[in-house]
Amino acid sequence: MINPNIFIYLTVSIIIIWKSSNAMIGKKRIGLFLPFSIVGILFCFNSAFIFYELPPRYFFAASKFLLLLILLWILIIIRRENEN
Amino acid sequence: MVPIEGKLKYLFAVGFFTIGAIGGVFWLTYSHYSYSTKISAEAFNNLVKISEEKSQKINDYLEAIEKDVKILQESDEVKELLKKDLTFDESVIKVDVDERARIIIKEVENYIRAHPEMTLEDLQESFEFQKIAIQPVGKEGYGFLFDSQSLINYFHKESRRIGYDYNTMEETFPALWEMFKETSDKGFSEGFYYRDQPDGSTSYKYGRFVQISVKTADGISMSVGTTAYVNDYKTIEEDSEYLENINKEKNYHNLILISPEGYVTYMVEVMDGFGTNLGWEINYDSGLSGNYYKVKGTNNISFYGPIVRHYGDIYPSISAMAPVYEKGHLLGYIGLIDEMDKVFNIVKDIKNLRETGESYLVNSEKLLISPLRYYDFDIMVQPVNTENTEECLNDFEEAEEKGISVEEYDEFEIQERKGEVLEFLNYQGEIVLGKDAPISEPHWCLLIEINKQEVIGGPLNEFIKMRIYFSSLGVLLLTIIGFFIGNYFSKKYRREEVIKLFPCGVRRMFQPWYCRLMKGDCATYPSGKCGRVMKTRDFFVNLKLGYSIIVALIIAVGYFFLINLFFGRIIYPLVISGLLSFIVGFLMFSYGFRLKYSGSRKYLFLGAGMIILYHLIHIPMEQYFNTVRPFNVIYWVPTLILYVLGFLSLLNFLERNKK
Repeated sequence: MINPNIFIYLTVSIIIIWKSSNAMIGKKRIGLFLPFSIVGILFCFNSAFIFYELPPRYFFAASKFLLLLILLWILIIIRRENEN
Repeated sequence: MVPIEGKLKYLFAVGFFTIGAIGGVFWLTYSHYSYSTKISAEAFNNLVKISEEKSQKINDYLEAIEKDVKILQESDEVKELLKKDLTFDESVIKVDVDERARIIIKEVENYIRAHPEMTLEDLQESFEFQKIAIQPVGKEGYGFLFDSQSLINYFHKESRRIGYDYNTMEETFPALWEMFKETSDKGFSEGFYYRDQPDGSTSYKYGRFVQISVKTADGISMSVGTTAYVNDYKTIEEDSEYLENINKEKNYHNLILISPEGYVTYMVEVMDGFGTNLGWEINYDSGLSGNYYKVKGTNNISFYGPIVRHYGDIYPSISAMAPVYEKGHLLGYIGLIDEMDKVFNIVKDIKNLRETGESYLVNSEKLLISPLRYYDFDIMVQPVNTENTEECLNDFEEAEEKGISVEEYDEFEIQERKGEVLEFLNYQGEIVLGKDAPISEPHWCLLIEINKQEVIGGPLNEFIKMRIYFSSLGVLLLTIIGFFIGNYFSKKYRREEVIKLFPCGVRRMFQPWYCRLMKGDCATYPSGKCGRVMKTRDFFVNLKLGYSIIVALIIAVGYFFLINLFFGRIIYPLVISGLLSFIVGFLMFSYGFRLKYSGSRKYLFLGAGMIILYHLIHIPMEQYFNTVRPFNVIYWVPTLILYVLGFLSLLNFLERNKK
């Protein structure tokens, strides 16, 4: 049986990618919303990992660190956008 | 004195409730930690006791065997037997060849049954099948396959024999031809015969020929021939009542004598391998060969096991072997084989191991060598790659480095680690309390494990339930007391005076809130010598980035210790990355205060708040990573949604953000 989480992760990633692409087009600024698209792609990878039943432990740790970097990136964007 | 109306009287109730609740949480956390530590220590000590008892029993059993081997090693009877000349006995080769024939026939039949689509040509091309069909027998002997009807050979060690028609031997080797014919007619034959060799000479051989019950895909019925050279087998032509009596009296599986060259020259219970040489390739996997070379190397008594001697044996065996000398001259070796049922009975005893306790043996190659309590894994096949096994095998290395016996090292380790509870993931990935006991001579590890949840879960739940009742009662009492105190003060003091009862620092923190709570004119409230009262927003606005990081770090470190206190064993990469993300989330949240009021600002608070909340919830949840199946819908998804909503809110903020 296919793990139902695959659909949840895919739905989530589609929503995030769709929202961030819309924002990119609307604001005509790619860099501003790029980290959000990456988060969406990362969730896509998550679903692939579940589908192929790869050992999740190391991937989890790695994806958590990647999400941390993206959060940091978003923080820098927010500060830059409001202080310049 | 004007008694004040309104909310002051509730202030103490709320304050006491908050203090009580926080205190209660800390008390529960500490109780959880201390009680679980206490009961796991008790359970672990019990495991240490069980492992010591069992390893002692196994060592006693091995010592008893060692004692018997020593007696036999010095016995004149054994020495006399080993001095006898080696001869050949017909029954010896028959036992060995018949056993090999039984195995080859079974394997050939199984292979053809498993591959019903394979024709004779396919089988001839299959390397796998060739390996089964022409496997060695004795030193130079082998198996071969021929057509039961036409007597044409299809599989043979010597390429010149493939396609050879055995009907042509009617005149040259009539005895052998007769046996082939008998196999073709009756399905079975056996006997001694002469046969020509590649170098032109003639050898005396024994053969067993059996028609197999399955046909190839193209309908060919084959027979399996198993043959060996008579001269290869060497034995002592004498029975020993002395050895037979010892074997019977001690209920051993077998007693064997081995010549210095490695020939198994005597067996109390005749079985396959008798008369063969332990240096032959065919004997490499027999276990006896392993022990023979071990003894040859060390020149001392040696244990080896487990040995699986026959298909379908209920118990594997253990062998003990020792060299026999007379006046410095090596006469041979004495070997003792015993079934491992006695060891298994010691290991399988699950008294005091509750419902989930396991007790089993692994060997130096990390293979399971005794049955498990609930699972029917094959012994000598299933590897047990757990921390407990590693821990035990490390003991052997450490003991060797220190130059002491492994039992002494284990004892030393127990003393050194007193009070420490060893937790591992077992072969099923469950958290268990575990203790290893190394058994020095056969190089085994006795592993005793019990599920942590069973040890701690039940009693701890009861204990914590009681504590929760008590703490709830305590909080309720404190709240009631707070209410009465508040009531008393509200009647006794004017509102301006109440605030003066608190120290200056506390006033600084609570005055803005207190002022708003009282719905009074904040400007009229005296702040004493405290100076300007700082509001929450001002606090964050004035907080520099460096200080924000410090505040977040303090909270994160505090949370880390709380998690550590609760779980004891935490998964570091996940916790640390979670806490770092929490810090970034906190920085985002506090940065929100610096922005001017705008519609988009609430999205930043919401997004950062959700990310903070996600990490605070997720960090303790991740500690159950190994017990809850990863990607479990019910478990992970609610928090995942929180996380995604956080990201979407941040995205919304950036989209709507106007400086």
